[in-house]
Amino acid sequence: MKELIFFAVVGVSLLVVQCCVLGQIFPPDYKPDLELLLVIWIGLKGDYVSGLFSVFFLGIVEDLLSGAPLGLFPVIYLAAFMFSAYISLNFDVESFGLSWSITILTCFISFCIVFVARWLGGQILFEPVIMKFVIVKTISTSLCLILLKPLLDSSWKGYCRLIGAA
Amino acid sequence: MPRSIRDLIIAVILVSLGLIMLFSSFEKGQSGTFMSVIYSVFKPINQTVTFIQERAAGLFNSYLWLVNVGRENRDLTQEVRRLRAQIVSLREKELENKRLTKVLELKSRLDFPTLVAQIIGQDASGFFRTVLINKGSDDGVLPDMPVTVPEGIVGKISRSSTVMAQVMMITDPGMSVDCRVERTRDRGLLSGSYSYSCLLQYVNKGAQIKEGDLVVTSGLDGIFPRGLIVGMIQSIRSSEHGLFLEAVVTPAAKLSEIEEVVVILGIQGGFSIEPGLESKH
Repeated sequence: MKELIFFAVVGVSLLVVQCCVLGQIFPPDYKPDLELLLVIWIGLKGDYVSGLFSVFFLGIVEDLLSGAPLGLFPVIYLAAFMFSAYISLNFDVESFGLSWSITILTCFISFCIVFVARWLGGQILFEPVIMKFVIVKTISTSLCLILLKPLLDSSWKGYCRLIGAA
Repeated sequence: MPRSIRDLIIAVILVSLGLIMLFSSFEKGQSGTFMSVIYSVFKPINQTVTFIQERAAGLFNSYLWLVNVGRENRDLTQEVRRLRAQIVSLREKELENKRLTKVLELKSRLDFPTLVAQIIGQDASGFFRTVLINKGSDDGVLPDMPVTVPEGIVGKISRSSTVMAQVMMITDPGMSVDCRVERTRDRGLLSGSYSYSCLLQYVNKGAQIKEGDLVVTSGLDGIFPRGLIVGMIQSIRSSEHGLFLEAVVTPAAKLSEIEEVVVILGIQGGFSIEPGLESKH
């Protein structure tokens, strides 16, 4: 339960930042997806069941606050979460290099899925600019990990101290 | 039950639920209770953050001015600070006044009931070109209602809850508007594009359209009333198969700069095309 509360509070805060603040700093099309970074971080942390529920909830909220059809982001986030959870089970994810590589790969695949979904829905045609869009967004998102990962780690430690958990 | 099996079952259930939601979300309409709850939570937060941002920007500007003034004449710092702050405040009010006057002019020009709303958030993911406004179904805002500003159309309501609504802008690739070139009366389908802001497609090959022509809504899509300004033709080319002309259109409204919008309230998803607004431009 304590994980669920933490993930929900952090997730909602990051969504507000994404909606209201990031658009002023980055070009709106290329603003980083902080929510996806949180999902990957939860996956790498290894709280599987609470992670699944939190990620599903965050995906639905992201759908509602973006133009996505309901259900798109829960599916993408669950896939990203399970991928990073699998990696954390089988590899040493303490190294920043590995977690960054996972982030880049996950972001790239997730962003591609968004466009494939839109293409399947008949909303867009494949244009060369889409690949540029995916690459730039992947770079901007994965660069944000440098700031966000230490922030999430220290917030989690502080939260655990506050509630007296191990 | 072994833990790994339990985890797997939970994951499969959640993924299936997501997929069911995804494949059943093609029908658009007014959203349910869950969405209303989510929007009710986010509306005050978004409004507060937007308010703080505006105030912070004002303070930041004031501070920069104060540094300059301090260098020039330290004795007059206090007085200049007060006057500068007043100027910033008045300038903000003046700009707001100008914007609202234009919005009011538009309201009186339109033959439909309208509602002014404030933009309180952008698309969370950045993949879609949508914005959130602070009016919802409690104020009469429903899906498929047109949204415009004095310069031109912005888009249409894609989702609405009781307190907030989402506007899909004309630059989103999922958006289509039936349009006419004002001068030649040729019809075309305007849609958003990632490569260009907007693309007017399926224009008759023989059409005598040219760069700089104004594009207006035709009223035939059942969403936008006839004659609202959409944008200006920037360039023209032949379509991929050579059967039609395509034109890159620059939206008349500066979509990244708008702060207030006018929602045209009317019959949801349909308008009589009779009113015609071209003569009132």
